[in-house]
Amino acid sequence: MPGLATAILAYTPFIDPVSTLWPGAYSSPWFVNVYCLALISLLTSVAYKALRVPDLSGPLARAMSVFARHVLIMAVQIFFGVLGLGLLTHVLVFHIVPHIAPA
Amino acid sequence: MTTTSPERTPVANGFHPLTGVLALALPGLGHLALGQIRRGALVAFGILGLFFSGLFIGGIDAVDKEEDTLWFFGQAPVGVVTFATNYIHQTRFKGADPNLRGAPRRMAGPNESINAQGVIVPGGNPPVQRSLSRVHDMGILFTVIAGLLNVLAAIDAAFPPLNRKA
Repeated sequence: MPGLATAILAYTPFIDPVSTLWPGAYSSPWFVNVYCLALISLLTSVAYKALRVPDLSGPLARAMSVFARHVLIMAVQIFFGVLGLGLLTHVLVFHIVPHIAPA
Repeated sequence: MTTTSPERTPVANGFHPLTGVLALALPGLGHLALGQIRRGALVAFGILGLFFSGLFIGGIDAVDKEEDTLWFFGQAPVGVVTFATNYIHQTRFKGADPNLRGAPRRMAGPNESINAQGVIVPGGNPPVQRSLSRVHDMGILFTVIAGLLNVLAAIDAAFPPLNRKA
């Protein structure tokens, strides 16, 4: 793995896009469908639930435990909701539309 | 005997324009100014996490007022961070093209570099790699969602709900 180690050492975050570290990121369905979607779901949930959870008072551990549960539920909803919409779009474009209007 | 923690004191409602402006200047600052330390820290973590994740994914090219102007409007509500990123991008990673007088500064292409005077010259390597395709799209998407969430945070900081604790 010397190539990977060199790439990681040479990587300058914010300046090189992640494609420098992972050249296949352009075309890998895992990049968008899993890594980016999971990250965006989680961070969006953190920011949104920080505004919506009514009570963050009390002992820190208990408050963060309640907050984390809210965040996890919302993140899972976004993740599988977007994957479901993607699946529906796939079915529509590749199966239903060709059936209605064959080429 | 009952004790009342300062954290459990309900926040007064009403209109707080200053905290709204502070929230637009830096994510989480408005809630910190309201005394909601935990909420401010979590808002800052979520929004700045999204913004910097976008920069990690798409590089500094994800924030570009000159070439992605419409997207910049969505990124701008993150505040000082967005404007500082754009300033660094325009001044440090773009150069003047000597063949096109008066043209906007541009990024150096392959086999080009930017000299100390900020002029693009042949040879060498560009200081920044332009992000393309999905990587660029994801970088912009993350940073724009961060901006739009900070609009929500600023409205929340300007009009804090009455029944909220900490």
